[in-house]
Amino acid sequence: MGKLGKKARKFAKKNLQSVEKRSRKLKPFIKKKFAKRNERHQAGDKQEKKVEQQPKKRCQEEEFQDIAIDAVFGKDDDEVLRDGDSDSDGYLDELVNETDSDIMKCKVLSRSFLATCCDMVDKEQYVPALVRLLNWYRAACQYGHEPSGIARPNIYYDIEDSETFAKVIIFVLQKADHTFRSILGLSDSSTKEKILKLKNNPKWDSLKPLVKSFFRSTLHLVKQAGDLEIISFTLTQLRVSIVFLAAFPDLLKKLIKISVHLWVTGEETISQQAFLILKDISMVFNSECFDSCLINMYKAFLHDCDIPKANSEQRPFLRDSLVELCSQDVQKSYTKASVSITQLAKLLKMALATKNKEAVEKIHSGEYINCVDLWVNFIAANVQDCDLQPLLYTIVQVINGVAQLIIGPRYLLLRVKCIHWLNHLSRTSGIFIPIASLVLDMLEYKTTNDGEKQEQKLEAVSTVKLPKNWLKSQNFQEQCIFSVIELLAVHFAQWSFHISFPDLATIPVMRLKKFHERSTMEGLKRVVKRFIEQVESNIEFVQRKRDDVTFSPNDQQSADTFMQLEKQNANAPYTQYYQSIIDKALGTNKKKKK
Amino acid sequence: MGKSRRKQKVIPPPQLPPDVPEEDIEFSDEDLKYVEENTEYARFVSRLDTAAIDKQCGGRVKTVEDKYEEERSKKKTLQEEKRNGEILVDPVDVLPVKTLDGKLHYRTESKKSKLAEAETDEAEKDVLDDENILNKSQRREKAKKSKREAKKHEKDFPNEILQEEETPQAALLAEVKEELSAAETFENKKNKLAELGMLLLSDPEANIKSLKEMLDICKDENTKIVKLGLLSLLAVFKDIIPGYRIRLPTEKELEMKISKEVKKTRFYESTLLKAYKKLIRFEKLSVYNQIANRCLCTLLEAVPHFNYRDNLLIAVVRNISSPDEVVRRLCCSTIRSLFSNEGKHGGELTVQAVRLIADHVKAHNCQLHPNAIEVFMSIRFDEDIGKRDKEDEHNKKYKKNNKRKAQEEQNQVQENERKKSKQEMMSKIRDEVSADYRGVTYEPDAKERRKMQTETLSAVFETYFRILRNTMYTIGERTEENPTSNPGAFGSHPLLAPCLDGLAKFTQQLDLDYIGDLMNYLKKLASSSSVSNNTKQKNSKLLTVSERLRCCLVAFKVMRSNLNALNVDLQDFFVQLYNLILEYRPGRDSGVVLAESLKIMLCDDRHQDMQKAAAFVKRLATFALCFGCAESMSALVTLKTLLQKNVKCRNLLENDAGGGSVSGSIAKYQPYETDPNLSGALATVLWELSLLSKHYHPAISTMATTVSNMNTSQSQTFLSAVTPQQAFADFSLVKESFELKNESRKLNKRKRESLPEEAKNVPEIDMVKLSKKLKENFTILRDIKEDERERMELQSEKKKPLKKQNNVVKKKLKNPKSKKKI
Repeated sequence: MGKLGKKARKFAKKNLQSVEKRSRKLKPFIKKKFAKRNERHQAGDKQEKKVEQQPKKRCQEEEFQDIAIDAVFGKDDDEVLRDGDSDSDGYLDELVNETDSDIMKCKVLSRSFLATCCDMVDKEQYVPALVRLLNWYRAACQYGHEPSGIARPNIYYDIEDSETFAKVIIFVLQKADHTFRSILGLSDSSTKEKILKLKNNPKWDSLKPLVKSFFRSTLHLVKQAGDLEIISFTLTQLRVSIVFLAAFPDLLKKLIKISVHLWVTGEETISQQAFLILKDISMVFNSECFDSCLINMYKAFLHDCDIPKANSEQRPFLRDSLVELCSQDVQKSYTKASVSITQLAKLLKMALATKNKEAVEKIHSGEYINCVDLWVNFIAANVQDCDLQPLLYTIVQVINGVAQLIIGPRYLLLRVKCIHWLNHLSRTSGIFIPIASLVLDMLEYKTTNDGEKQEQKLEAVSTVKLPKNWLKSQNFQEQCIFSVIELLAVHFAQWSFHISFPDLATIPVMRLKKFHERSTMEGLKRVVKRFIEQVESNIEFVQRKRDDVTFSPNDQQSADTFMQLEKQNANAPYTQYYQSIIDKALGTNKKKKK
Repeated sequence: MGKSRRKQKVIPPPQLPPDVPEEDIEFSDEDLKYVEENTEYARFVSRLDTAAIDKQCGGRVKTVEDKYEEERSKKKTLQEEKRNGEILVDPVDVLPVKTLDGKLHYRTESKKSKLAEAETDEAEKDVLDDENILNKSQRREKAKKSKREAKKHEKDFPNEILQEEETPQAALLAEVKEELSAAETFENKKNKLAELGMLLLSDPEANIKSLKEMLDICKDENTKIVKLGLLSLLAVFKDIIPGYRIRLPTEKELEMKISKEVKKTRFYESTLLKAYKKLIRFEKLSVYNQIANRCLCTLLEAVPHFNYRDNLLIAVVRNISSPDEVVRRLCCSTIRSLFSNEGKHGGELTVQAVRLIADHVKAHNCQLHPNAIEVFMSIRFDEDIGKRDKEDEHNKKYKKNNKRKAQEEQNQVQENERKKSKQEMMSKIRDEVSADYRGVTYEPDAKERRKMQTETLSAVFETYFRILRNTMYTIGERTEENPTSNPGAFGSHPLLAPCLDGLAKFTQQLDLDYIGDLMNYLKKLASSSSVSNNTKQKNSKLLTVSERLRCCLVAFKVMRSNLNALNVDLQDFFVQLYNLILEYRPGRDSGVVLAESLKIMLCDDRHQDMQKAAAFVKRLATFALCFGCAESMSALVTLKTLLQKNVKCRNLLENDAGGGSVSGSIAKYQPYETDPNLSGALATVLWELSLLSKHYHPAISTMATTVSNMNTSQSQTFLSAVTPQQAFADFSLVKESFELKNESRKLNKRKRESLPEEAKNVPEIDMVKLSKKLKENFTILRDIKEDERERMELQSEKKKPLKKQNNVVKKKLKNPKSKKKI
């Protein structure tokens, strides 16, 4: 026995829940994060006020240290988890009562008994059998996690073997929702309102504890399980019955908490499933739930940004899903976004004014950058449908400020990122954002000495600031020039059919030509030359068309319709060229990620 | 000086009531009655200290010195008592205590330090009396002292307690004593300094010899003491230096017989002067650089009329570009104050200082800190020197003539004669007095002042020109590729920027003859392109864009201030600006300078060539498309002004097929042309505005729309109030408020239908695999459980025989389990 135990423990250490659990507990912020949520529930509509008041207060304080990006949405007390902790006791009692009322007292679940029970529930929706089943289900979910030492003999359920264990869990997860609905006489697509109306339904009174027990056990299972597939299966099944949670706000909160955690920390599928649950919750339930989901996700997301970890590829997914959630209710997200962006702007202002090291570091933190990234994507996703002009303007100014805060080759990547954002915003909103001067400055980042030809890969770098020795490498200069060309290509591709294109391209072409004259690296020269040629052909084309028109610059309407037809076709060689550059850049980015 | 002031401050006791013989005093009945009724009120009378009253009222008026003496004697007696008391304790039965900093403290030390404390206390009290006379440095010094003492107190008290029962360790005693005596002497010297200083301040003439003693203390080995000494001396000198310059008597004068008073004064003066000389020499010791410099600067600033001021000035100017920030600041501010308070030294020092700085710049080949030249900005050149005097003279003459005429008319009256003579006499006396006055004060007359000013100016401009020439030279040097000359510690052209600023400021004082040269220099500097074919060379020697823009600016300012009287072609500067706009890099170059040059060179220029204006309009519009909002805005403001001024340029706003009649000799716009006159900008259309009206910044987009809607025919004469500089400042990111207009807006959004793609998000789960995993899970959990239970049982079996108390065992058993659960 001892031998087996050892093996088992070893295995458990390797892949089992206790390990997973410990690792989760090691991330203290999660706890903190969740701990904060309690107040929001009680605060209710005060929430909105708080959100609006806080920044005003902060305006007066000049201490930038006090401005935390994530502290935007109100600080919460540590009045935590009270219900969460107490529930293991309370709900046990509940169940005991149920089982006491039950006639059959079977302590060890056998395979045959389970089969009959399942049969009864499946076919006849026999309630006492369902109660039994749920108790066994609970026992299974808590298996190995019972509060030890207090094993009271009369309510101690044991499970015979592994097959029964698996069956009871799978069966309940698969059939519970359907059974509840059929007992209550609800269709599969019943809304939240219908569930709330159930209060008058006499059947509901008897069924309510069962539903509650089901949710509790399931949540416990999700929390404790270490295996990827078990969790994702459970989450998938749980999603179907989310509507029932309308009757249990506490459990709903708990579910939000768990889902946010899984969303941030989980693997790809789990994260996706967790997000789907959150999305469902925010769609199905009232706006308070939406707020709660959004805020929790936002905070968890920003905290996640601060932790350097290997799987940073998941961050775009997190960001996109958060943007998707925000897009559910733009009106609400708008207020949140404006508070958050104001906070970002304030930090930036402080940094611009003082230029001291701490402030600048704050701007260059992963939290700040990812927060900007988040809102840029949110605005880009919604700017066509809604009027987000003020947000757009402020975020563009903030990005400009970040790009200009510290100028120097070491911040190349940050600058490239900023220009990407600007291009993204410009493309989605259709407004003009000048980027040429920001881009062209990168042409003059030349620290290469001719003698040195180190090859260094830029791929591993994810930090804002580049290490000094990189600046000397030839690779760095190549990176600079490629970025310039890529960013300009995106910019020009957007305006390539605009009537002002020749003028827009004048200065960049001059600068590129100058670079071409001076540069000594043949490879780069060729790339630059090709780009210049394409742009010049574009200029010539637009110029020719422009000479034929009769309207004046003040005729904005005619200017907007200028060359729209050509734009639709997009067969021009330069358009294809721009596209090829953009695609290539995307390709290399993807490659980098892999 | 100090003494007399102090004496005046003593408040005399209230005057005694007039002496009335006691018999004459009559008490009224009411008085008597009152006293009888309230006998208690009168009790104080019996307690009156008549002796004291007599002493106070009857005796002579007591000065502070007397009080001081009294206090001293009292303290002395007190000290002696203390000493007596302490001798009673045997110094041997004491164990030394080592403090944290490794010093050994003995019981004896505590006594001695106590003594020293007593002394310092006394000294301090004395000093406190005179606090209002002391300057800050001394006060600070005192504060330091008291702090140190307080620390010692804290140290000593616990020591004493500890030391009570310790046994002696005689071996270390000698060494400790030495240390102690060092500390003691330090304290003593400090006290001595304070005392001497006090004495000097209270009666400088009597105690002038103390200066020597103080100087002797300053020769101490201990740097701290020297520093303190220097500062004390500074405070003393600042106070006692007379308001005139001391002239030492010649030998002849020495031979003459003189009164005691004069002798005393002479002695006083010579001692003072000697001491002062010695003090100034301290500057040469590098150890006391900062302190000595402080002394020099303060003295020069406070008493610029006194002897040896030349030496002071030389020393200060030498440090004007010191690498030590503190010293440099101090020196610069001193020189500045010399320039701005010319009344104190009659302007003579200004000339000297400027001369010295000019030589300094020359000696260092223009490699100095910019501050060295920036001080020139504080010089004031008064153009009206002498003019007013002349006018006065003129008026006087005129008046006199008038008077004479009038008098001639009234000549008949005899009495007038007498009056006239009387008047003449009076005016004569007045003249004499004023002449004497002039002789006494240093107020130089207008002629002299003008002369000095010319001298100053020539030195200033000499410096400026030297810098310009030097800059040109270094630029020329680069083309010859001279790698040995490396830029100095202050950057490549440290003095150019302040030099250009100064030129712009003093341009009105510049002689017209030089302006031609100046313009040539500026032209060359402005056109020194930083883009050369020589890329390998690090062109740090080249001028930056800001510097070149500044050159253009100065050229324009010079021309403006001379009312365009000169026939100098500014065309080159326009060409430079036309190209410099493209060289501009935000962040690297100063946008403020760019905005200023746009304002001065384009907005303020009255008549412009149409071709050129059009070229600038086009370039500015193109520029606005590529740069940030601050730059764009200032460009657009300039563009608007240009369009408003040049009616014909508004043709750029209309798409007139073929460019119309206005297009010049060049039929097509050449965007890459470097000469604005050859760009053919008139042939183009300002299409940029179309894109600019889509600008993300609302202000820029409105501006672009406004400009594009300007009318060709109608002459809009009103000019926008905003200058490019203003626009640049307003729209720069630093000033951006980032305030979100948080009006509640309705965001109407199409509700998106829940997407069908959701379905595919559900991962396909292999049920077989899942159940297998669940089974595994179960097995493992059960194994763990059973394993644990077994162990628990084992443990409880083991422990039962050992300890009978079951409860305890249970508790203990729970613990490991719960730990494992976690």
